[in-house]
Amino acid sequence: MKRLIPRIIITVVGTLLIATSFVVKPTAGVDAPFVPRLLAYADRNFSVWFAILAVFSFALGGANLIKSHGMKVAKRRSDWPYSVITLVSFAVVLVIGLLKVGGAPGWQGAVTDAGTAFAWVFEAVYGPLQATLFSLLAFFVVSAAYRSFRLRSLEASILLAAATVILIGRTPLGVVVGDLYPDWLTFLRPDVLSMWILRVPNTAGQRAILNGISLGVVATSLRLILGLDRGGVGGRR
Amino acid sequence: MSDAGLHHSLEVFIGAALTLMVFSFLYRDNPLYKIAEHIFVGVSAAYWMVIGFWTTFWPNVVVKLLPAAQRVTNPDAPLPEQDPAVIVPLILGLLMLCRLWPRLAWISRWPTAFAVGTTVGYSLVRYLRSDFLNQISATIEPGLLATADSGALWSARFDHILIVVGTVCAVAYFTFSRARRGGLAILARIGLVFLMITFGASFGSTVMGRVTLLVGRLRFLLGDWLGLI
Amino acid sequence: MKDRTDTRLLARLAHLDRRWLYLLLVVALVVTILIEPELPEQPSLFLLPLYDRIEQLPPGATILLSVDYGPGSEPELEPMALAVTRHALARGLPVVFMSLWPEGPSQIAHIVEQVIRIEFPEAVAGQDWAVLGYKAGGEMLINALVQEVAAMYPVDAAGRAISDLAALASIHSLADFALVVSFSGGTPGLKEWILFGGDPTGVPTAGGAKGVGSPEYLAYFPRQLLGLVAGLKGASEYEEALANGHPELGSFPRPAAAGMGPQTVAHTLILLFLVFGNLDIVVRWCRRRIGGDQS
Repeated sequence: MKRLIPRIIITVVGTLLIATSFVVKPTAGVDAPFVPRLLAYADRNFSVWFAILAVFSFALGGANLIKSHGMKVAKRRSDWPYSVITLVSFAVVLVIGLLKVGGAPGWQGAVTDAGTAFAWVFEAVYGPLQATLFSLLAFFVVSAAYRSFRLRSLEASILLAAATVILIGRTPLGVVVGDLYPDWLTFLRPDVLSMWILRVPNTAGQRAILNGISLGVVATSLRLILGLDRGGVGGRR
Repeated sequence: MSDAGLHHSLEVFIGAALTLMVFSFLYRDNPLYKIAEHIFVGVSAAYWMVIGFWTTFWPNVVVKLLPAAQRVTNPDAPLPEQDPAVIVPLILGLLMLCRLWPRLAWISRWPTAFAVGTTVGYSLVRYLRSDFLNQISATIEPGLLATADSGALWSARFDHILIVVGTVCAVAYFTFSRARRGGLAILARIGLVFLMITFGASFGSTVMGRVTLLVGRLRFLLGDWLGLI
Repeated sequence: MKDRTDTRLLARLAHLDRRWLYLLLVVALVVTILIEPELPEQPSLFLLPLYDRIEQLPPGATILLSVDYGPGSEPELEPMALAVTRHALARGLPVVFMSLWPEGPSQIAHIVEQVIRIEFPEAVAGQDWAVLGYKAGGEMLINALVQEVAAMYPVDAAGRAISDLAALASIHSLADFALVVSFSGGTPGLKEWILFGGDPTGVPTAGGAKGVGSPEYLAYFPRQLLGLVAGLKGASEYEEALANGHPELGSFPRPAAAGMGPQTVAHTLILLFLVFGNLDIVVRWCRRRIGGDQS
């Protein structure tokens, strides 16, 4: 029962939605047979239901955060004071957001409107933290460029050569350097060459990768629909 | 200083302090970085919940079930029609929350199965069309010979041939179901060269992007905070 | 003796504390940001079809701008979102903002504040521009819009019924938009718009992408992807094209062009790091070649 029902749901929902792509949808107001009407209903509503379900996953994430950090604090595990910070930040933002503190009177207007405390938290706390955490990657790229990218093989050298052309060509430096080239070497100007790399060999490589991934998606989807793969919902045997 | 000005100054000051706290990690891991990191975890989880509640749950669930709720956020709005079908995702959503109780966690597999079913049902067709069939036809079109009449340059035709050859060879490189011998080995070798150029282009572009983010933060510190630019 | 000194120097360079590299990068960037050099720019072929399409659309054709990024991608994507919004409004095309990302509403507010409120104060909310805002669901949200926009967006972000908005008067489903542009910080983003929006409906789909994702999106160009503004460089090129094509806009802020100076310096520095990081291999290779020649 615990394993069977989820697998049946995947098979039924998946099959219905695949079928929607191959069946002409009935015109509104016209009496149509049951199956096309069922498919049209699924096509029209399942995406909306999925979107609503996604909101519950946010709530689940929040609840899990309370559970894991709450346990850490309750059991005084190592670094538990940091968990207190997480819980307090979570609670403060949740309250000011759900109550729309500081905005239009009552619960009017959007929670992200200028003037709400929630919008202020976004600008002062959430935005700077997320942007800075992402920007740390620039330093790690620099470190990797110096220590990890080694010309150990022909393949690695080709990769680095392509990257170098992109790095020069996709800045105004490419134009400046390119202007030093004689006319008959125009095709080797960094700005021209970088665009060529992106347009030709990159397109070829990306298309092969996309082809491979798409076949993987199709195969996995079929396995899930046919019940050959449990996709994390079938439980252990 | 006006209230708005004070709020803005405080906003910039806190933003700058948090930025520096995160950057302190570059020297070594330290309590200031950990504080910033833990604030971020708490704030982002709450941020997503609040946004999900007010942008999707309220208008698409609460208002659809109880149209009068529309007036809570906009007193002048006309009342929409009731849509009882929304009860289905609401129940599925509540079942999903059962995951929080280990004894009831198995029930949460039902809404998860619905989400997986919806995703695979749509993805199978969409990926097959966009990333497989359309990619193949985009590679073949325009035909190699057709370009001559349309006045295309020889270089365009050469590029097109290269894209076709590169795509076929790179696909050959990803062919793992046959031993790589003879012609397939040659194709795979050429394919590897194309893939290395592809990864090089991705690496170069990634470096570009990462640098832009850092420049963005430095501009914030030098401009908004210190007022130097 | 000299060989040993060389080897020792290279070994020391190889084990240089990474924090010196970080410091060098920050100093180089800070200096360039303060100097603000002006550099030449030339629009590339990937973004021109998007620019031209916006130029050619008849007045009143509605454009959907999907702001699919958060603060982590803002420095790369906001400049292009500003430029495209400015372009559409300058041409008299209504713009409708939405987002697949929860951070989208705040990012949309930045665009409205910086472009619409300052440069187009006469633009009427609900008529010349509208904000649908964020909804959960990612690609399934796009799927729902393919059926009917009102299925997920019965009201706009401010709670007004979308049937009351002039900007959306002729819009029933996604296919009714003249153009969809996704400023994409990752997943869900431009790829989902192509797979779930553009390809099934045929609505012209273009995008702005971070440096990280742009090479992948080029596989869809030009058949499935009308045009691509790639990274800060793409945004800078768009600003240049807009300045040349619409002199009536005057000297509008060009954040992408201002960022290209530091960008160039950082790239040069990283290339130098790549060279220094491989110096020992190059020296060994040269020695082997020279040694081989001698024997």
